[in-house]
Amino acid sequence: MILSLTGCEKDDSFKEQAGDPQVNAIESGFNIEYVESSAISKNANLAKQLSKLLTTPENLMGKGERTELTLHTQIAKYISSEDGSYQSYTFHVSNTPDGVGLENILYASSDGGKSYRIYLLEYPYTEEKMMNSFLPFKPLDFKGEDITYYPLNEESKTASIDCTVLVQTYCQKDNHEDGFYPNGETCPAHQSTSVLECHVQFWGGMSSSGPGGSIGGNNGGSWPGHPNPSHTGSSGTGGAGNPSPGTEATSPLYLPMKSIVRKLGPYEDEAERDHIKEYLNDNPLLVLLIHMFLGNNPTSEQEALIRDFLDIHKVMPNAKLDRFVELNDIIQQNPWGLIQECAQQNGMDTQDYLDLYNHTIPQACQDRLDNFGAGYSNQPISDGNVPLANIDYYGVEITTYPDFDNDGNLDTESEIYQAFRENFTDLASGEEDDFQFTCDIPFNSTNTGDINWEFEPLTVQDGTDFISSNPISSILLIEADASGFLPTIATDDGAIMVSGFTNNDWTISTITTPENGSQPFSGNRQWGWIINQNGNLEFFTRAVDVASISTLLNIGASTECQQETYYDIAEATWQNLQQEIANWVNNNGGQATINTSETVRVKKEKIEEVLTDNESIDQILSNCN
Amino acid sequence: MGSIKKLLLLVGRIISPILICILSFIFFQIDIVYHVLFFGLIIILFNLNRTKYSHIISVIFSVCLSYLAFFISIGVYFGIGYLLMQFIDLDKLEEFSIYGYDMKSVHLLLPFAVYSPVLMFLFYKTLLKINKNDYSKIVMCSSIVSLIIYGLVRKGFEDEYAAAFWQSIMVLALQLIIYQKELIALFKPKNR
Repeated sequence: MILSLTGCEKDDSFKEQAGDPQVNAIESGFNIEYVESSAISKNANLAKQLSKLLTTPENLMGKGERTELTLHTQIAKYISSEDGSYQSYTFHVSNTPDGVGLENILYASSDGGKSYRIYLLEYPYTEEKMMNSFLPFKPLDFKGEDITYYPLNEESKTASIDCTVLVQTYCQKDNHEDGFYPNGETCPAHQSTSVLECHVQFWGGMSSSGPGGSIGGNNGGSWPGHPNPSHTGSSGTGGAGNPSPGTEATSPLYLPMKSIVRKLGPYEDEAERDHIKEYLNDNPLLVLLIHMFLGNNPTSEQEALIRDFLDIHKVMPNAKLDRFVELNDIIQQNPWGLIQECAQQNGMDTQDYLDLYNHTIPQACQDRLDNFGAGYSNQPISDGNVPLANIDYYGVEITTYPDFDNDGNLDTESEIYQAFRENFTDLASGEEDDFQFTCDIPFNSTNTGDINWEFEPLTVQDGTDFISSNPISSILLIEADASGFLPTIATDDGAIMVSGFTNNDWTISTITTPENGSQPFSGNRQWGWIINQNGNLEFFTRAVDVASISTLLNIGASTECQQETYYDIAEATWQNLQQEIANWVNNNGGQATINTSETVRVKKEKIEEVLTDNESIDQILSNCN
Repeated sequence: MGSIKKLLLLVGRIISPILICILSFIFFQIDIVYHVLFFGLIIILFNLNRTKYSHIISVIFSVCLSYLAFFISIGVYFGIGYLLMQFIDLDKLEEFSIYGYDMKSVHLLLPFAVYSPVLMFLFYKTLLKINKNDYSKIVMCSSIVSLIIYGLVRKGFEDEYAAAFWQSIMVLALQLIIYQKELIALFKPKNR
């Protein structure tokens, strides 16, 4: 017979994970809480007993049909009496045989942990019933249920077991009026003062003498699969106080890894399913939280949310499920929820960006793309393939108007706007020496290189249309290049199409073309002019977009570093435009100054903070540093 | 005295191209693609008397083969990467690591330490007079192992030293193979 103990590496206690302890039995005088491996291992004698079970299981279990027992020691339910004399640890058995339902191993001590009585408890329920009944952190009533237990060591075989009950509530002791579950729901005890509202919890021992219990014969030492179980009985209700000699207290610990995986499925890939199962097996507390979240009848949205959360939890093990759910709600209600506060703090009018976000290409643009045929298509913001979204604003303030047409008179706003459009491709094209790539470039110790980019019309007609009074659907290609062979591989050309035009601004949308493939960013950008709060003319560009990194480059560089590089190149591009406009205006008799650019992106660190920190989400999002 | 002169000459022939490769990296802070050119030139110019073809053809071939090995290695790297992408998220490869060395770095190690040296040996075997024997195989394997060890120690090949090291090892290996007869004769006990 093999007994294996699974993972003992987690150090976090439940209290640390889920906030203040909420799980206390008050009516019975017991405290109940989940403890993790770190707390279990501090109990040297228990650790020794567990080790004994691991190393010489046959001494305890005898020879039976069961050839393997996997005990999950990463988490246990710990029950203690108020005076500390009684304590028990209940562990989950992972490899329960078919048809048995749930198995727990109980370690109980009445001498302060000097010696332990060890039992195997068997709950002969269907999986569905267990999923519906054994919701973590929820009270349950075992009234009248049949349970079987098997003493495993001498101490437990000779103990005279009484049936008792454990009355459990999840409110803090003496705190029914303010008691809450970890998920924020009001504690039932808060709802009523009647005894029934303090929901009865089962304990594992059974005999005729306990309240509501029934007797079973004590044959001692039998093993599931054999015809002579030691005791069966039903739980009782009511009752309180410390267990008298011969009583044990337990509370079922159910870790429904298999059921959760089944609920989250179907997984076409068996390896993926096994991987999730293994991952859940290593994270029992997460299993409890997921079980609590999914409840009895989870919706497909809840299941999808858990699948997403598991993906995040793998890379961010401290992520909290409740925070993830809260964050998801915020984004569902307001797609701008994560950046709105900082955008407003930076003086950006979110309505402008909302308009840009919702901007779609007109029919004329779609018709032109369709006429081109295969390979040409709109590239909406939803095509972005990195986690970070960007909104930005780059402005140049003109305090003295220039005279571009050299007629001796300062130009008007509309003349300046037209001159800007006519010179746009020159002004927007540029270069940056020693650009710092975020990704590592092989054989390049500084990861730097000279980069350049050029805006050019797709056809001569596009060039003419672009500066005309009806530039809609004209297309500009963006040709990117870099010095050095390996940086050149990383360059990503693109294309944009004018999809909106007024006398003050024009809007472009990103498109995919056979010439340049997909545009490095997906979304909409606007160039134009306004009279700013100082009463001066201000050229600006603003955008709502998401980087669309080259998936081929993912072979050599991570998504994260590529996304940083893409956004840094965008920043270099628009800061260059600011500089070019300022020089152009200044060289033509005007006076222009560059305003500080504003960009707001939700960084990974911010999301990590939201998902792991105890500070409120609102507080975290309002911190824009 | 004559044998010492021979020895010095032999060592000079083997070491000189390596030194020139290293010096080219020290004095020319240029793109890797130019160093590929230098490599092709250095190898052939120091072994013109060992080529199977005329001098001009050999020089042209050498440069072409040097670039071919370089581009094929990169192509195979991206090709295998592309195939892998069809089955797994490559970002996740970085999560699997042994002693801090992740699977993505292993993928990058292969073109550096395996594809390109193997290609280089194969290509130069067609251009230079090289004996196919155990000695050659040992030298080839040793050079590949050296490159793998270097790649494991300095993962990511984030500096120019990686390219310089690669060229030095490859030039040394080729020279040891080309001059194997002389080297064996030198260390072989003489009959009295």
